[in-house]
Amino acid sequence: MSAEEKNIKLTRRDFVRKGIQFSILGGIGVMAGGLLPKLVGQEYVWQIDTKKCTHCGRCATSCIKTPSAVKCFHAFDMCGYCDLCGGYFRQGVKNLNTGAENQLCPTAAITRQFIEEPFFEYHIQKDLCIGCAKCVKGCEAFGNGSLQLQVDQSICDNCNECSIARDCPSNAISRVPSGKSYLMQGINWKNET
Amino acid sequence: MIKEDKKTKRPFDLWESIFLVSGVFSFVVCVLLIANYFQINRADPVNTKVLNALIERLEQDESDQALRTEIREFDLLARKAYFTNQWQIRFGGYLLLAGVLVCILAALMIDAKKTKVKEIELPVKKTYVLTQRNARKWLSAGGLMLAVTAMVFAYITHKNMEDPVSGEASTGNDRNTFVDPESNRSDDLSPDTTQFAVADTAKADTVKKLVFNPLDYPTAAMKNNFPTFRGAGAIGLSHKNNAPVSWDGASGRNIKWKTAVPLPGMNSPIVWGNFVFLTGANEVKQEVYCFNKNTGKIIWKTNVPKSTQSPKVSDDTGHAAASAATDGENVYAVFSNGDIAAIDHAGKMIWSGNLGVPDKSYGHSSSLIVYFDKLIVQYDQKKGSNLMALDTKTGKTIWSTPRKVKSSWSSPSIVNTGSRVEILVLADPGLSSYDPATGKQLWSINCTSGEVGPSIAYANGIAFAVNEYAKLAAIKVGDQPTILWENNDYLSDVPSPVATKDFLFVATSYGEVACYNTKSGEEYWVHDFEAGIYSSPMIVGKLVYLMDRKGTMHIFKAEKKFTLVGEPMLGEKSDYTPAFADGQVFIRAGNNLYCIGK
Repeated sequence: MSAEEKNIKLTRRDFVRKGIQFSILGGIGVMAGGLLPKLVGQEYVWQIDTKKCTHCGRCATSCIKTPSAVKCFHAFDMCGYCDLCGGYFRQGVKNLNTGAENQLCPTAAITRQFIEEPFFEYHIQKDLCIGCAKCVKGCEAFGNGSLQLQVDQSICDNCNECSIARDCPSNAISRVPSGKSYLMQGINWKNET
Repeated sequence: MIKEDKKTKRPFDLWESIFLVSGVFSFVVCVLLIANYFQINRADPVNTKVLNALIERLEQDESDQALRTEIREFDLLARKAYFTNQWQIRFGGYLLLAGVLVCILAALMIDAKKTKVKEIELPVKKTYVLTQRNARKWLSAGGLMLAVTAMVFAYITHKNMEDPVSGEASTGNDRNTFVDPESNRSDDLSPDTTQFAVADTAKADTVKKLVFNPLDYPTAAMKNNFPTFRGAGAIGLSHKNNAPVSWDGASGRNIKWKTAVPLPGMNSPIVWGNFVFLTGANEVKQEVYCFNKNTGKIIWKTNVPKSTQSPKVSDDTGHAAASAATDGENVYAVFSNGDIAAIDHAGKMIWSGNLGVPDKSYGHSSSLIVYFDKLIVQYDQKKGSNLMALDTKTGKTIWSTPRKVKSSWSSPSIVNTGSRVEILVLADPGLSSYDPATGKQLWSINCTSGEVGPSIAYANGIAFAVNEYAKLAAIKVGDQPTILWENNDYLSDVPSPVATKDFLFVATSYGEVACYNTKSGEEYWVHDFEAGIYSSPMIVGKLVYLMDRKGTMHIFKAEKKFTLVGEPMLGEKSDYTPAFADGQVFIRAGNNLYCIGK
């Protein structure tokens, strides 16, 4: 083996050391790349204007993610805590209980909890919600609209071209500053992405 | 011999075993993913027909506990299947990828361990070695094809997860399934724009920027035609004064043509050139009609696909209460569910969209009006009232001004005060003025309350606002608006008032008409026509045309003293405001559109 070849050969320790160095540098580069847009300019995210939303149900089917990144959000400040909740029960139900035959949500994503007579509290299980807007439509029609569709920013991939925005018949989805990433009515949202 | 056989039969080493196991594993996952693809395409996890059928059965017999239990079990199964399928798609894809990678790695390792020998030229092609080599090639290619197929199916399956729920989700209510018999709205309303569906983008792009003088409003072309509800500017003034004063529906005297309108609608006709436009709608269909002004023949009818279910409306309003508007190039129509569309005069859809289902009682009825390149839409509702201007070429919002008002059913008017052009809009609590160029509110004055139906009258710098259970107010317009006078003797809940420079005419829905001095508010006369009135009076030259609900047109002079000129009858009920153009009157009555005159 020539002297030149000897110099080129890496020891195992050098290889590991250099590997770690490259990994750290690479990690820093990725982090910097991710943070740069936030530092340089304001980031924009997709969100639904609840005033324009017609609850057509396309959010459930148009999103590239399955289930959709659009979820039902509950403005508790607005909620009437109704026993007969238009967002929870199908129309015309006689027994106000949690039986599957009475529930409007196709995936049972809404839980109903007794508070005190005659009030009930409703919670959305985000993992089960598919954004079909049935409950939103029901609440809007028979309640005060406390159930609202919003893009869950923790799930949304923030695509360059939102496929839901493309399909939305009422132009309800648009880019909003990430500082005000939720557009719910009747709630003092913290607007955190 | 036995010893030699044992030596030649080499046992599998580790990498060969890994290759075999990962290959079989990938194959099994492939098959499962492909099977999953076909299974999911058949499944409808959200709108389970069986489940809905069971629930309908239960509604007929609420005491059937066995059926109740069956529904709950089936519902649980359906939901489990829905979410398990999703998990399978995601996890199966990753498993297949991992399996294939391990398989490839094992193959590479096996290949690397082989002793490289120089290939010998074989004298005969079909040898045992060559056959084995070919078999390996075909096996690898086949496996690769299978894996790619499975990957593609996994991807397609993932994409198609949307389809089973679309039908149900679009209705929002499984008991009110909507089917548009003619077209699928998603096809028509979801092209490549986030704003509105523009059918002819090339045309929209190449349209030259319009240059106009605001003070030209209303233009001569608008005055020569009848471009919107209540004429140019929507103030109840016809710029033509040669309308006939006599006709008879029963005998057909002086009636040029009569054409049946396919779908009902409470909107009134508008006229441009040789065309008369109307809209019609019911719960499943929305259409715009173009009639030949000379023959009455329907030249075209264009379906405006429903983008969402229509809200509940009253019989007096219906699903097509708002009158269309035209700028001579397109005709614009809006319906009860907020669907809005622009159609050119050849019947081709230019753009369409939805403004959001209006949240108001009775249904949407505010008519459209065009200001040069802007389509003005008054969208007053319980929450989130807006006055907006849409680009007439593309439907994109040019400006949208939030309004702190209650629901209203009146229509916007555009007036030229001499120094500027203003959009005047009436709703509880008052009259507001907006700059048509920017949408900025110029001024506002409290003058009304309740559910406002009538639109304003305007003449000589004074606007007149009236509403039932509120009052009649004459307002001097300007940056500092002032109420000149008020009256609450004769109020209207449907017909809009009209005014000349000197006289104001207020028609009430119960049939009385009052005439006032525009400046002082002095009451000149009151006449009871003894028939209900929903149509708005129109000033044509020195005459006032007022249609009652029975189909009789009351024509009287716009003077200090009540003078009846004529009371021609159509013989059909009419709640619509007539249009005037070229010595003809166009009246919608019953299910027909009439042309009166020669």
